[in-house]
Order: sequence, then C-alpha cells, then structure tokens
Amino acid sequence: MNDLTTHLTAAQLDGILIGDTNSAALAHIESCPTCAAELDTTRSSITLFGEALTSMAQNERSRLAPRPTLIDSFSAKRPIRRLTATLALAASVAIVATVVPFGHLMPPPAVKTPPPVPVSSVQSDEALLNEIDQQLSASVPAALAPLEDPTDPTGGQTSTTPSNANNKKD
Amino acid sequence: MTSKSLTAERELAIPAPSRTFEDLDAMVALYELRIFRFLIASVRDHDLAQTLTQETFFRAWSARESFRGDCAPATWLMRIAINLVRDHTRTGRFKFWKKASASAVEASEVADHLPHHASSAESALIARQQLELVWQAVAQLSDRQRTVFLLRFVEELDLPEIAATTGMPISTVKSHLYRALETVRKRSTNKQSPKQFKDKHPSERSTR
Repeated sequence: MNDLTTHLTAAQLDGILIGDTNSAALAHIESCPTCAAELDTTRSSITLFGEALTSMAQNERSRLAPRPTLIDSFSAKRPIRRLTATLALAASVAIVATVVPFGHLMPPPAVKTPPPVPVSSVQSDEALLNEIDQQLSASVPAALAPLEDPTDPTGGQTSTTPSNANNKKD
Repeated sequence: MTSKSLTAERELAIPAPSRTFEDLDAMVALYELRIFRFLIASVRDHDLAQTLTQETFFRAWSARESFRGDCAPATWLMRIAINLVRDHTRTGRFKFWKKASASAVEASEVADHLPHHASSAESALIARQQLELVWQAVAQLSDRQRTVFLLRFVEELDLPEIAATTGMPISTVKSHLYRALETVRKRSTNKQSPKQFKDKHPSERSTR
C-alpha cells in the first residue's frame, strides 16, 4: 500500500473521511502527497459546508433571540426618550379613541315592541273588511248581467252593437 | 456508616435521568444551536426549522419521564429531531410547499455565511463555488443518506454515536455514508473544467 505508484481508491479515501479507518490506507496517505491532496480537497469542501451551516445557524439564533440588555440600556440611559415614547403612545391612544367608533362597546339596543293599536282603527278595519265581503257576495251588476248567462243569444250584442255602429258612422 | 448506606447516599445525590429535562431553559441553551443547525440543513427552510426546533424541545420535555439516561441528552434530542424531520418530509404537503416556500434556504444564502479564511478574492470565490456544489449535492441525497452525512460531517458524531442516534446498525450507517460521500464528490466535481479533470487524482478518474 505504501507503493507510491499505486494510489488509494475513492472508497479508501472516503473510508478515511468516514472514520472507517484502515491502517494501511492511513500509512499511504502520510507518504503519498497526491492522495493526501485529494483527501484534503474533499475534506475542505465538507469542512466549508459545516462551517457555513454553523455560522448561518448562529446568526439565525442570535437574530431570533430577545435582547434584554438593549432594552435595559434604552430605558435606563435615555429617560427623555422614554418620556417621549410614553407621550407618543398616549397621543396615539387618544387618536384611536377619537377615530374608532365605540359602537361595539355600547349595550345592545332594546328589542322594539310594536306600538299598541288604537281601538278605533281596529273597528274601522273590521268595517272595511265587512264592506268588501258584501261587495263580493252581491249580485252581478246590471252592466255585466249579459255575461253572467253565456247561453242567452241576445246577450252582449245588443249593448255593444249600437255603440259600434255609432263609431262607424263617425 | 456502612458501605451500603454510603452507596444509597451517592444514589440520592445523582439526579435521576428523568430530571435531566426539568430545567428546559438550560437544555435549550446547551443544545438549541446544534438541533437547529441539523434541522435547517435537513429541511432547508428557516420557518420550518424554527418550528421543528421548538417542537423537539417541547416533545423532550413532555416525555422527560421516559428518558432513562441510557444515552446522552444530545443523542436523545437528536433522535427526536430526526423523527420529526422524517414525519414532516414524508407528507405530500411538505413536498408541495417546499417548492413554493419563501423561507427556503438557497445555496447562495449559505455561501454568504462562509468564514473568511481565504487569502484572496479568487480563493474566496472558489470556496463559495465549492460550498454551493456541496449544498446542492446534499440536497440530492436520500433522507437517510442526508441524515447520516449531516451527523458525521456537520455534527461530527462518530459511527457508534450515529448508530445510536438513528437506530441503525453501524454497517448500515457506513453503507449510507459511503454512498453519500460518493454522490457528494461526484456532483461537486462534475462541473469542474476539463483542465481540472486532467489534474485529478488517478483513482477518482477511474471511478467515472
């Protein structure tokens, strides 16, 4: 294996990276710069991958983590700013209270009961209904009497013919 | 005082394994970065990785009574995280939203976090390109290959630890690692120039 004309296979190089160690392969790596360079190339790519992932994860965690020290220093060292912020907050609350209607905060409206109907109007309604009933149950008016009996041969023509004739004369 | 009573006192002084996760804040402070790093490399989505990290610690705390101490807390947490990733990546919904997710992690974004070891601009550019190729290659691995690859080369666990974490025999872990490394090497070197191919190691040329 230490023969420098015979290089390690890809699987042997991977075995070294994986930790599936082979003493002969390790001995060859120490004496063969070509194989050592090849191993370093793969190893450096994977190392870069791990380092970049770690850095990205650290940045992400620090971005998401709360920063109490900043808040503390803000409130302790900047009382004027804190007062300004409080006043701004109070002003914005006042504006919102003015603009936003508070309909949803008011008690629900009482259920409207229908107003009591006066007795006189009830009586007049009953009289009107009785009058309509009488008109419906009454006999056929004189003008419509010929239509009541369609079997009458003279019905209807006697009343309409003269008027038609008169119209033609005009 | 007899030796028997001394032994009993020692046993009392050692906290029970089930109490390991009582102090959740301490566990989060110790292991959150590691769990989040593994999850974001596995699911490649900021929001989902964040959610699964919280879910991992929540499940660990909920099931703290079942922690017997037969493995390290980190191993136990990582096992929960692996199960969560498997459950989420199995669903068709995950595959659908992965394509359209606005919080998906791109290769260029990872490359922006490269440490500045490079001595020249050209070296930095080459390192960036290498990283992007590895990132894309890892994306092409199967779920199991990706998991063992990340555990070995990002979390730097040794083979028995990976076997304990994943519940696979060591021989299976090795098999997945060999395949994963072969894929990563092939895909990350396929896009190199013909001149670089000529300069390649003889064993690597013979594998193609």
